[in-house]
Amino acid sequence: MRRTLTTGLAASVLLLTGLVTAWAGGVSWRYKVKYVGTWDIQPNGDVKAVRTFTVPAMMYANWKTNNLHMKEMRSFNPAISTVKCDDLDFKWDDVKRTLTLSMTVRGLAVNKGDHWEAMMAPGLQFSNIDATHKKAYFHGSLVNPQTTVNGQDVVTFPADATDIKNTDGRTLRFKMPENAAQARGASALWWALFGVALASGGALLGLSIVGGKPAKKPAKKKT
Amino acid sequence: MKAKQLRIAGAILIAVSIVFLILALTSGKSAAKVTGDLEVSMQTREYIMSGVYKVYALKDRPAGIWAAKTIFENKTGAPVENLKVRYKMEGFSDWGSWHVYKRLVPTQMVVDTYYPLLSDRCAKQANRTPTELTMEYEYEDAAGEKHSDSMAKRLTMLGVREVVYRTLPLEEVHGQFQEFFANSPLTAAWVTPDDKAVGGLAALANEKALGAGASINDENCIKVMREAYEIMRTINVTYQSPGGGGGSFGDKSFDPMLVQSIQYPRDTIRKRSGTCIELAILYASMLKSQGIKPYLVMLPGHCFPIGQLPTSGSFIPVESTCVGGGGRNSQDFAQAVKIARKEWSDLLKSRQFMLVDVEKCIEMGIVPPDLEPLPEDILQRWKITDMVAGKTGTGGTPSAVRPGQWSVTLTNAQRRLTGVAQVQVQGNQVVLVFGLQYNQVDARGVNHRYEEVNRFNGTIQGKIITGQCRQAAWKIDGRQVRPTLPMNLKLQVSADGRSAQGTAGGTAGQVQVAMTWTK
Repeated sequence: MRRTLTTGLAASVLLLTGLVTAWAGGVSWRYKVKYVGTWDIQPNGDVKAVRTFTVPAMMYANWKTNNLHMKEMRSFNPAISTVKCDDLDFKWDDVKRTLTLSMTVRGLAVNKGDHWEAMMAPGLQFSNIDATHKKAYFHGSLVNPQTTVNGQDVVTFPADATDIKNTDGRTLRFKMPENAAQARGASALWWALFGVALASGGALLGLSIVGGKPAKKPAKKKT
Repeated sequence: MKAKQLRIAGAILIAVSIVFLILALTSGKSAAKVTGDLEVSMQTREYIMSGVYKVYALKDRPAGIWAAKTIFENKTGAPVENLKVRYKMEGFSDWGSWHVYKRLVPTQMVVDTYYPLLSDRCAKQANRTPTELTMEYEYEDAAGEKHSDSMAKRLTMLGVREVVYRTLPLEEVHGQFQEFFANSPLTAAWVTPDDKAVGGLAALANEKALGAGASINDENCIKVMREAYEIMRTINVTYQSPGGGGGSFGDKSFDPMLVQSIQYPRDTIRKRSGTCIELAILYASMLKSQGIKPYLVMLPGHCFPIGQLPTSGSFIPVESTCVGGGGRNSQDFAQAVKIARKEWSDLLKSRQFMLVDVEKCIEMGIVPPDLEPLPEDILQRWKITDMVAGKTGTGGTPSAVRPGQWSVTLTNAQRRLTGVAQVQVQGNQVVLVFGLQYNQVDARGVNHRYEEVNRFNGTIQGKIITGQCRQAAWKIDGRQVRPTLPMNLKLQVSADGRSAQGTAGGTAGQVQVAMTWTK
């Protein structure tokens, strides 16, 4: 299984709708679910992820009564998951009817040497990149007979990130200072050679001037 | 230029080159000190399933199908370069290619997973075998020094007929059915439509359906589905209750323990028996080989197949254990569908089931192992073709005529009567008890009610039944009357033993007899 940003949390959207279908038992109206996600990429490749779902009261009550969040969080169990998640947490807000799942996914962004890569889950629509504020925006939408789910995910890059791109709709690429330094380091040898060549040339030039004959002064006329 | 100018230019150039040299030497690698270690930990699966060895190497594999997972965390305080990891599994997989991670910055973590490319030796794994999984890695620290190390763990390669359904540790399971059977899609690897035994049996069923193209329309599809089910009964495939099934699923087929043993369809045909899941898989394999889209429905303690009609897309569930056995009577296709429809309807309300779309799983790459090839005449060797053709075998093989209840039609020049016959068979002795009720108007135009029970004792030779009735009970308008005996019977039984035609009669006249087995 490829590791992607929104791994597991994308599934949670589907799970939400699936469980609604089961519980609703054929009720014909459509539930509207909204979500907001933030994905903060850390300089070491960890991603701090938070997704908050706002759901109708009936769905909220079902989830809370049946502890369905525990089933959701099982997908991050080390026995199954191919990512390591720290600080897994789930919060309820009875007033706002929100379910919030948060975690730190270790090493989700990968250092490729001359750049970093982070991949979004399939099914999310890329919106745009705000290079000034170092953010990328994605939208998600899911419709089935009982539920519509709509939301937005915001990916925030490290403060030092540069050259942020979305290469194929899913893959986010960016560079960090150590990538630039590596690029510089790759040409260090050439710089050294250039320096040695200049120094050698300068030394030879100097020696040739010192070792060469002085310019002849024009002879003074005898009177 | 004058010497002085040249000297000045040279000195400047030397100074500039020294600056460049300093820049080149101080850019690139950081001068951070190595203060800690690269932490490494490896987690492996307890079991590797040889029956699905091809699935492990798939690019888009089902979740949880990994053999090992290694976590590297850079706690050295400095970058780590060129981390490389590779694995092998003793006896089943050579060293894989290196997984390369160019650079790990301080505190960066990498989770590397191993999806083994297993050899086809797995297909020959009759039983469980211990094996050793070895991981080796190497990297360069900030000082440029190379490090390498390896780790090994013992795990078990399961037999080719074994599957692990549960992916979570037992203490993490809440008790929902889906958690115990998260690996249900892997069951598709037991569906073997291309197996010679399965394909041959399905072809025989298709012959019975008069070559109806199952994928042409719904009607043909149902014909083929019916004959595929009935041929299982013809060759006496029976449901076998599993031994030792316990736990929360009671006496059903599934053992709530981690590992389930499932035989392949060829084994079910050869043994003529199987558990519910084995019968379902056999039936699904036969459907698939005839171009019918099959599904497997897995529910707590049970499994049954579904065939999807090509035109309407409707599901036809079939309770494959209705073939009989395990203390249950054999029931016909219509009854098997009726029972399964009720089960399916209940499941749609409870949602405690998993539906395995076999075709979709096959497309994903969940395919059977390369089992040993069977000879072309395997069904002949197993006496299957003889049974289908209706030849009796020895010691326990079925007779040419089916015992049970038959519908009867008697016709002569004057009238046509219908009734019921009970048939009992013991060896080549057969007893047929005909029950008839009909009205007849006499010469004076008076209507009378006739009731007859005629008992024929006979023998069956090949497909011919001959018998004689010397025992009968007749009533006219409720009054006992003396029957006209003896009566003789001669019938020709069809190849599948489910229909018969012939003549019966005595001094009072002859009638044409047509019989069809019902249950």
